[in-house]
Parts: sequence; structure tokens; C-alpha cells
Amino acid sequence: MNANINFYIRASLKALALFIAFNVVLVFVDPMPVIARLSVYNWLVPGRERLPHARQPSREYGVTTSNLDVMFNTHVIHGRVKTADEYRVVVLGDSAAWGWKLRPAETMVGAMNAQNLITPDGRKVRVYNLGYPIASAMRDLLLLDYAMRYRPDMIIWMVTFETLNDKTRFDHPLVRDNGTQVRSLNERYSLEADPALWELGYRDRTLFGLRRKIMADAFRLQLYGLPWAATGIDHDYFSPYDRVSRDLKEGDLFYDIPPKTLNEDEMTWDVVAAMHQLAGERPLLIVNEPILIADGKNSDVRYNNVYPRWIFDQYRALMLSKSAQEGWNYLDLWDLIPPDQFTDNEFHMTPNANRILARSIEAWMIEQWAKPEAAMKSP
Amino acid sequence: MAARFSVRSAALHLVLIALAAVASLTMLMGRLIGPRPAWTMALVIGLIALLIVLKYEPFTQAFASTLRIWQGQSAAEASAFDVRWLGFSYIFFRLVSALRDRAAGKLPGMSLREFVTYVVFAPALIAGPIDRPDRFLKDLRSTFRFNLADATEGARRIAIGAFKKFVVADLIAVFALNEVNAEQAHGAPWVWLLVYAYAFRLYFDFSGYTDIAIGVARVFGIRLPENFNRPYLKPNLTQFWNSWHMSLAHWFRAYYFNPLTRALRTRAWAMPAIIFVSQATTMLLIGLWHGITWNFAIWGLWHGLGLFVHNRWADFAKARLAISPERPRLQQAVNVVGVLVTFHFVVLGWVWFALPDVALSLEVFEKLFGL
Repeated sequence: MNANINFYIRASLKALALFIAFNVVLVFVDPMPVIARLSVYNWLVPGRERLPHARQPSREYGVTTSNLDVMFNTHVIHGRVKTADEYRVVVLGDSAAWGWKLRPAETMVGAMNAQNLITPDGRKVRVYNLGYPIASAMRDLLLLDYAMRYRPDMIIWMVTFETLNDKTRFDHPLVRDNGTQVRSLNERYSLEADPALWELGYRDRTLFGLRRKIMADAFRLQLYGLPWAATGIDHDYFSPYDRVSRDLKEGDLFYDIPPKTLNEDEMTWDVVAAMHQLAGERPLLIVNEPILIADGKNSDVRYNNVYPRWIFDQYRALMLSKSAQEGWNYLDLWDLIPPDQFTDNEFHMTPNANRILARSIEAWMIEQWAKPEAAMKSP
Repeated sequence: MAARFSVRSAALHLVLIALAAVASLTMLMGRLIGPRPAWTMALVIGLIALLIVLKYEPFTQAFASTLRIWQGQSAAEASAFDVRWLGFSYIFFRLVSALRDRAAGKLPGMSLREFVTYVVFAPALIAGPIDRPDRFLKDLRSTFRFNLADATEGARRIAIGAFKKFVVADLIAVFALNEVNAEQAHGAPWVWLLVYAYAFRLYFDFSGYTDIAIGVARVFGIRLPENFNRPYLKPNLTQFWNSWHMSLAHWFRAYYFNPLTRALRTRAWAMPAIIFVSQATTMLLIGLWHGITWNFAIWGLWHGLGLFVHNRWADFAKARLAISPERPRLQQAVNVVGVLVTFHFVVLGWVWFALPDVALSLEVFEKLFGL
């Protein structure tokens, strides 16, 4: 019996030693790029049509993670080698682009893919949804920087005032959790840096800190690949929800800000410029996404419960002048969708509204292709 | 504004008092009435009635509503969980064992404290294993001295059980069949995956729990019976039921199947009919013990029929298809086929077990076979 007890003691000590050694290694080596490569997506199970995001993992068969390697390795874009006959379009944006309360096929991207567009030089247009909930320009720059390895031919960037408002620049989990990449972008494009931007400390790099959650989420996301493949469900689009109100709250505050002149320095123009630099010669289309234009109580002062008229009108004017001045491709579709086509908030739309939106963007694309100077190039 | 009552777990002391009261009452009744079969039968029927109340949803709900009203609360707040926390399912087996053994003169004399300890023994209270009173008493009465060997073995079983339950089973649960994904899933291969996952999740969950229960009891010097012995590797259904939830199968064999078979033999029934009735009703009762629903009944009959078919096949094959010991490879091949067939029969049976209604189960069968 003593031999048995000695065996257990020796085994426990060895396990403890290995555990400590493993944690020491984690402090110096980031295993996530390797772990992310062990993805079951795009070979054992189909790639996801949009980046993983789930509030209720057991209902939505996904996990929200901030690790870009893990996120993109689950996406269908990671599994598709770009062929000569593919015209690759990536769509960036917030939850409206991601498709809140919609199946992947019902989103704007789904509607565009359903059209099976062909470019004038015969390439098949394939659109990829790289939207992600909560608006932030810096988040979109981070995602585009990662997505450039997939060699897009065109970038569609769905924005609203919240996206380009400087207040949201760093106010996003993906931006906060990817400090190293954000620092690199700040340096590359001389962007405004956030002094509070942090990177993983020694403890956080071990299994006693944040890395345990990052690794566990990566693992869970692989497991949820199986029910995702079995059901095709990646989001809770079946639960009922309250429709957004068309009667608006009192007052004209934007959050707690009273009416004032919107200054240029309140916009993240440096990030927009960085997006263009990153896109290089590929067309980058900025779309001012549709918002609910309510028609109920207090709608003479506000467009909806997020935007009072004074701020959104100034934002639109600024966008128009700035895009004309900088030569940006800009499409202002803010009032494209009637109010009854919005679902649970001021930005989320029905499948029908997404089809209307897709047609408008496709029309712009076709118009661009028809221009003689728009010679089709594949980067 | 109407008063609202939160649904919360019952206080532990109330649970223990209630369980001890049931056990004490049964003990006193047994003492008072002695080993008289008619009285024993009356008590057993009383326990079965209580089990039915706790296993049949409408009755449970009505019982819970009555308790709520009795407490001056709103019946609308009543839930089946108001009474199911009692953990009566396994207590029922121990009480009936005691009553039947007492009537048969096989129950050893025991004090009230020993009897209550047997009935509500904490490690095995929620999900077994179901011990026999005489065997449990032997361990309980032996002087407890801390034993390093028992403690080490107990800790090993707890660690294995915790790993099975909280790592393996809980991970597999992510993609195991349930009433939600049964409706959502499409494509036969993926539906098979969900069903296989359910089979392994159930095994690792239940056997993991059993390991923990056995391990905890072992630390205190009590050796609870084993409940699993590699059930999915058995070459036929009879062996499966000798290795899956073994203490439950033993209990039903001792207190239902064997007495029923003996009784039917006195009526000069044909042997196959006796076997069919005994096996089908035993498995039906095992199914209904999990909950009085059509699905559990069908699951029980599924296995009852399976056991009957295997019994008849074994009888037929023994005489005609016996494999010579000189052909071990053929025997091995037959065993492998037997394991695969048995495993899939059990796995398909879990479709009835896992889902709440017949229509959904049939829908899953359609998806599994691409119908």
C-alpha cells in the first residue's frame, strides 16, 4: 500500500512541476497563434459566415472571444483560398452589418451573395461578413488589418456617427483586449494613442490570469463548432424581442451632451485615413448606414432615441464635406429604410431592409465598374 | 401589488428532517405491523403511490400547489421542483428493500439510527448506487478507523469521477442531443453525432457521479456497490444491463423480476411468454421510474423487447450456431459485431430517453435514417 501512496505522491509532484513549468513557458511564449491554427472550422465543420459572437453560448452555439487568430480561423474566409475567378469583398461594420436577430443569409452580405454578381471581367463576387457588434472605428481598422491577408478586392465599411465618434475609438472589447496590435497600428499610421491601453501582464499570461479564459474560450469555440455544423445556428434569432419604439424620449441630449457645434476633432478622421492607407488601391466604400427615422412623439427633435437631429445632421454634413475633400467613396444611405423595417433597435433591420440596402450598394458597385477609369485589378 | 415568492432550494435541515421522518415512519410501521405480508404490501403500495405523485408531472404540480396553498402562498408559484428536491427516487428503493426483506425475514435487526443512515446515506442519496441493507449494515457496524488505503482509494475514485463528470461529460454536453438541438439539427451525420454524444455524455456524467459517491463513501469506510462496468463494450443487451446502472438492475431483479417469473411459472405459461412478460414489464417499470411519460415508457419497452429478442436469439444460436473454441478469430469477430449492434441499439434507445415527447423522437429517427 505504501508503494501505492508513494506513487500518488510522486505523480502529484510531477504534475505540479509540469504545471508550473507550463505556466512559466506561457509567460514568455504566446501559444494562441498555434492553438488558433488547431481550428476544427473549415475542414471538420464548415466555417462560420460571420465572426463569432454569442451572449448565450448554449443557445447560440458560439463564444465571444477577443483573440483575432481564433476569431478569423472560425470564419469561412479563412478556409477559402482566393481563386483567380473570385472578386472578394469584405464588409466591416457594427451589429447591423453583422446581422443582429438575422440568419446569415438574411443579412446584407447574405443578400449580396444571393445576387451572384459577376464583375465585368467575369469574376464572381463573393462577399464576406466581417461585421462585429458595437461600433468603433479602431475596431474596424484592427479587423481590416487582419483581413488584408485574405486579399480582398474591395472593402465596404458600414459606419454611423457612433463609429466615427472619437469617444468610441478605444471603447470596444476587441480594441482593449488586443493592445499589442492596436499599438502597432497606432505607430504605423501615427494614430492617437490611448495611454490606458494595456497589454497582458506576467500574471495574465499564465493560466492563473486572463490567458486561461482566452485558451478556454478558444477550446469552447471549437466544441461549439459541432452544434453549429449540425444546426447552422450561430445567433439567437428565434427569441422574441421588443420592437424599437417610434415614440421618442424627451429632450435633445446625445447621451448627456446638449446641442452644440460638432467639431472635426471629435471625429476619428485619422482612423478613416488609416483605413484608406491600409486598403491601398482597393476600393474602399464608406456607407453611412440606415438609421431609424422615427415618426412618433418628439420626432421633430430627434431622429431616434440615440440620435437627436442636431448631432446627426452635423455629422452627415461633416461626412459629405470631408469625403468630397479627401476623395473618399461615400454613400449616404441614412434614410433609405422606412421606420417599420427596423427591428429591436435604431440600426438593426429586417431581412427585407437588408435586401434593399444590398441592392443600393450593388448599384454603386456596378456603376463604379462601368466607369472607364475603374480598370478591374486583383491585388 | 400581489406578493411574489421566489423559487429557492429548500434548506438542508428541512430536507434531512423530511427524509428522516419518512424513514422513521417506515421503520416504526415495520416494527408495529411485523413481517405480515398484507401490511407490507399496503406499505409498499403507499410508497409506490408517493413515487407516482413525484414522477407524474400533473400530480407533482398539484401536490406542489397544495403545499404552497397550505403555506399561505400562491398556487401560481408552485413548481414540480418544490417537491422533487426530496430525492425520493432512490429512497424509495431502500425503503421497499427494507420492507420486503423484513417480510421475508431477511432484514437484519437494526436500530432506528442505522435504518435512517441506510435510507438517507448522503453520498448515494441523489443517484445511488442502491445498496442492500444487510451489506450496508456490515460496513456501518465495523468500527471506523481512518484507513490511509481507503482514503487514497476514495480520493482516486473522487478524482476520476470529477474528471468524468466535470470535464468529459460537461464538454460533451455542448453537442449532445437535447430537446432544442433535436429540432434544429439537420443532416443525418450531424444528428448521429448528437445522439452518440448524448450516449457518452450520459455515461460519463452518471458513472462520474457514481465514482464520486463510491469514493466519498469509501473515505468513510463504506464500500458502496459498483454501478458500471464498461457497458458500451458488451456484446449483447443482457450483458449491457448487467453492467449499466447495475445496482438498479439488481434491485429490480431481486424484488420484481424473480418473484414475477416464479409466480408466472406456477401458472403453466409457455417459457417465452413468461420471459417476455417478465422482461417487458421490468423494463417498463424501470423506464417509468425515471418519469411517468410516454417516452420513458417506450424506452423501457424498447429495452424489454430487446432483451426478449436477445434471449430468444441466444437460445436459438446456442444450439445451432455455436462457434468452436478452435476458431477464436471468428468468436472475436462475432463479439465485435455484437458490441456494435448492442451499442447502436442502446444509442437509439437514448433518443426516447433524452427527448420529452414522442413526436420529436420520431422526428429525430427520421433525420437519423434520412427518411
